[in-house]
Amino acid sequence: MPNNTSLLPHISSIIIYCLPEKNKQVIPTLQSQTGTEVYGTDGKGKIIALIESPDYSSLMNSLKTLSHLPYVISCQLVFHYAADEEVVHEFF
Amino acid sequence: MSFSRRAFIKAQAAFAAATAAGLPITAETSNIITSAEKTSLHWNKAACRFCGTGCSVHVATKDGRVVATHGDIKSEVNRGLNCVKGYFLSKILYGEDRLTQPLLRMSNGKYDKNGEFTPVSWEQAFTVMADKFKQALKNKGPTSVGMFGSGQWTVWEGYAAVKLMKAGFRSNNIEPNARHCMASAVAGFMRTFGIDEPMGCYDDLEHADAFVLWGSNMAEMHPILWTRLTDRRLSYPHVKVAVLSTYEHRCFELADIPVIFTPQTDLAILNFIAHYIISNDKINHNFVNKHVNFRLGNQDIGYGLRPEHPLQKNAEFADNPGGSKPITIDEYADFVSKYTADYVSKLSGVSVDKLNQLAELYADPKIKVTSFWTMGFNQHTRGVWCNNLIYNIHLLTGKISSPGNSPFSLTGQPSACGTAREVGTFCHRLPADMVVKNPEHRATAEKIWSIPNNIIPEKPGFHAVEHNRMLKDSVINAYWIQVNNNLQAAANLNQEGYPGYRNPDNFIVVSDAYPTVTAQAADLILPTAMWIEKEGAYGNAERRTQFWHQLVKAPDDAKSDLWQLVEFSKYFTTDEVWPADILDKNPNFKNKTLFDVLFKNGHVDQYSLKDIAEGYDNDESQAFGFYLQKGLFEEYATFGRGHGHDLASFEAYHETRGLRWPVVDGKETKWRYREGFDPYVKPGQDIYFYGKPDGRAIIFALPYEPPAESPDNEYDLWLCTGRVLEHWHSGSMTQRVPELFMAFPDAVVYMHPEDARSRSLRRGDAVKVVSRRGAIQSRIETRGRNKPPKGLVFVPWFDASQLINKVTLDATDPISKQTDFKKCAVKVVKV
Repeated sequence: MPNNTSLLPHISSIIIYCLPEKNKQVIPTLQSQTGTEVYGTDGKGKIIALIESPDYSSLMNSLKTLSHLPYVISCQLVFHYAADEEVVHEFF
Repeated sequence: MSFSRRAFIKAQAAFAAATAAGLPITAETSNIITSAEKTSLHWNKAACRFCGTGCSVHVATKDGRVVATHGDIKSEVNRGLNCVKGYFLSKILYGEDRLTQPLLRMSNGKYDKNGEFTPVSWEQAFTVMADKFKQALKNKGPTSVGMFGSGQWTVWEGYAAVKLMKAGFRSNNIEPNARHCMASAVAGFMRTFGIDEPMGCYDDLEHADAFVLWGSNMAEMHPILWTRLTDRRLSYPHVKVAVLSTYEHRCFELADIPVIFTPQTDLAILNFIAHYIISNDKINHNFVNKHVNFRLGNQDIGYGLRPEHPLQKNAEFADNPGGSKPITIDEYADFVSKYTADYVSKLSGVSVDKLNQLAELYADPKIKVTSFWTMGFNQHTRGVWCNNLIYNIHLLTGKISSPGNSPFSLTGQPSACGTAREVGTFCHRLPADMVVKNPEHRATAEKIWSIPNNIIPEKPGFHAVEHNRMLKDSVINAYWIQVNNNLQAAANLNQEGYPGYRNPDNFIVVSDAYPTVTAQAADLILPTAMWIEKEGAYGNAERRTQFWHQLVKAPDDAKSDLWQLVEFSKYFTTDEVWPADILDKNPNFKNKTLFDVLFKNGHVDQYSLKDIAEGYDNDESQAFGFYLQKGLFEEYATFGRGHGHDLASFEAYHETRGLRWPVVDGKETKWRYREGFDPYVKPGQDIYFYGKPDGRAIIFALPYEPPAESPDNEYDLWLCTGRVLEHWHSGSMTQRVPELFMAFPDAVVYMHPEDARSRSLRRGDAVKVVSRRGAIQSRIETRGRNKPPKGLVFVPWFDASQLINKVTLDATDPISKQTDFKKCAVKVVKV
């Protein structure tokens, strides 16, 4: 059971477009980024990742970082859940 | 958030992304349905608030607030994707300085143009406002009142405004900010085809073999469409992309044929391509013989400046810029023959080789070509000509109205099509492409509106640029601005914009959600509801009309533009604003409020509140006692049904992710004018351009003519203005989203490094951008996303602290009256 400090309130999913032939290099690089989890891939140019962040700024920073990783062409945002108030309610 | 709830949301997020990417999803996530109980989130669709792409988003609300969004997977436009602005839609409602109360400039308890903004009630606000409008109408008549609306109005807001102005106050001085963005495209459509809006649709993106971008930065301005184009290009190696611009931008990353050209020479390049097609015998003779007429357009038509300006006095056809006469195909061939590769290459700075490569995309009958353009063509002193000329080359080759063959005019705003153009919120227009000058059109409108004859005025009113001039000249004295920031948006702010707003003869009202530059220059500010705080409808670039329900309430006393328009109409009676002779002839209209005759007219008020879908708020309808939006929509739809502008039923749009008109018997139209796709084209006709009486589109012979103001010895640089991805228009919404603000906080001057060096400037230096009209202070950027050639600088206009329109020139296309924001002469000096 993960401890409370890793339960971050912002959950987003993104599609990462990478060079198809570099897919196997990109995935571990993504997995090594904090708060980032690789969910799936087509084995070529598309990778689905989940990002968990404490706040909006971190989310934006993560996206910037991911966009600039080697062999990544672009990141496309799809889903975003922001649970600031809920976190307060649940934890206290 | 509990662990299981967290896992559920993560799975939901993954599901959304996987579906959008077209990836197979694991068994667990595919079983997950968006279940309201599991998350206590309530999901609904809405059209994006921003650009003309018209993406659909899924919005989750909880306890009256927006808490989550994602791209709508069911949308045919964006298929689950969002660009960064769309992604932060949930935050645009919650800026800290959201306006919540009417504010009137007062001192000593009374209205004072030089007073401080003081909170007042809606009743006080409308009383003062009505008084000012009545004074103006009484003293100078209907030409002294005006309204500046928007391509971001919902469909029924624009329609209510048209009724209030043209039928209520009997004034044609209503204009949308779409005059600044799409007017040239509209005039281009009307001249060539006789009816507005693209004949193709976004499906062309998945069929074309070649894409040509003419002055359009799709990567930043229509990002989701660019994603689809990129997908097509990367998936099919034979597909080619040509990008033409006066400076290098992000689209050039994908360009097979990148083209930088000297400003305004797009006219010459277009004519070269026509010449290439003809001289290489690539005309589709079968098509041209059956479906095309040729005409020679008037030349030397001026620049839309004030009549005293020497450029206007010397222009031969300043008084009839849109005129033309018939010519033969041979005369047309002769006309374009002077646009040889050598001549055009010298004029434009584009190599002969590139010109030929570009022309071949159009000439080769085997290549299906889609042309995209936006402001590079439209915000142009010969913008209508550019639009006509691009149609020329598609018509010469018959590459039109079929999948992948598509001259596609991209729309900037989310509803410039659906509201401004289709509803006709212009000084010269009525709904469904009708015009006030035509007595039959006026009679049709008066009949549908159930008002007496001769109420709608015949003479077109002042167009957008003239609004500012007439405010300055004290000709317009009572003025209402809704859903735009025109003081920041219009050209030549110091000389023409600002003086009118602060002219003591004028009373300026601004409806907005935030205290923009325009609001701050006004006399009365009305706090306005935004986006999903009201039931709305937009029409996007591919003719797709989309609806959404009200999902949250507006804060405090803020009210929607629609409520304001309809409520304001209660403050006027027909006796006060209609001529006595018309009332004498129609006595049953005597002593009625404008609310009675415009909105309680038996049509607009015919649907009861019970028709509102269960579980949704609708504050406007509750206020007035009937389903206002439905009544307005169905009355408006009467104009277009059966006339090529058919809209589906009101309910159909709430149920679907939009439909592309004409919608006949429930079926939308993807490609117009083509048999089998367009219900208005009869069997056997194959292609029929039914906007023209003889079914033939027109190829116009039109030349290259120079811009209004070019660089010279003192003002030695071209200034081009435009947008950036992160900010929408004047930034009134996006600048208040912290993440978007941080992504791009301040405007900069994009400049070539050598131009900087030769002016002893370095990247980051503070500079002044100066023209004959004004100056702003900014900072140099020599290594940014935009890479201008030597001799040109680019400055975006989203930044309220850097009002670049102090510097720009209010020259327009004389036919469309659209301002050229892309070309004037400046110098850049170190501060």
